[in-house]
Amino acid sequence: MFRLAVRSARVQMARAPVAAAIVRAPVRFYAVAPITKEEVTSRAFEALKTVAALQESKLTLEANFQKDLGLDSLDTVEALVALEEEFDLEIPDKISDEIKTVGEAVDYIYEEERKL
Amino acid sequence: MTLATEFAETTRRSATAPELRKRVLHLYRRYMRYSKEFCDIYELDMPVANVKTKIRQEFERQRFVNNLDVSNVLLMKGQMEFQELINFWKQQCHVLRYFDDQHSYNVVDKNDFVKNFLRGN
Repeated sequence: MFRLAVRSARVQMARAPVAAAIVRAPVRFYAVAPITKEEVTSRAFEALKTVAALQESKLTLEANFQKDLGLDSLDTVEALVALEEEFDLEIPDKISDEIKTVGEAVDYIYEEERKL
Repeated sequence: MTLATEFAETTRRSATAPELRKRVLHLYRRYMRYSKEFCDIYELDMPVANVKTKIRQEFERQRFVNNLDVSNVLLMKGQMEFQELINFWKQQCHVLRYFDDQHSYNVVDKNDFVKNFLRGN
């Protein structure tokens, strides 16, 4: 039964027009579309929610890690490491020391992702 | 192959608290980054979050140290510990000692307030 079906399919394939010779302008296909800022933001928010001490309801781009989200210095480090793990990059110490708000972190990650 | 000097850091003394604080945060960041690595190489049978919590606890223990000299030594020790951990200079049992009290949840609570209360003391 299966063999019959295969055979008939093969016959049909052979009959199909071989080259319908449609010449198109070459299109480049990317494996993944370039990442958008919205995507970075939503993924960053999801990653930040894993930080235990963080107050989720106050999570916005303008939120300051320590003043608004109620994190202490160690929690802030944890939050940034969570972001690093989510986006698979390593934020150098000098830059992470300067990052004070969620927006700054998202901006930096977005810039880094675009470089790839 | 392990490079003996990998993750090594020259010991130095921070003269001011803000600078020391910064160095501590850098060390903490390094610990956090490599926490998954610790889990992997020592085959710790626990979630990474558990290891992270333990690292946090060890840092928190020294939170209220005021003496700058003591803090400097503690940071130095922390850095040494990090180097030993990440270079796989320890064995699993050494790492598991940190988690000794993990299963002590069943210990009897010495505070028998409720018992006395029920007895009417």
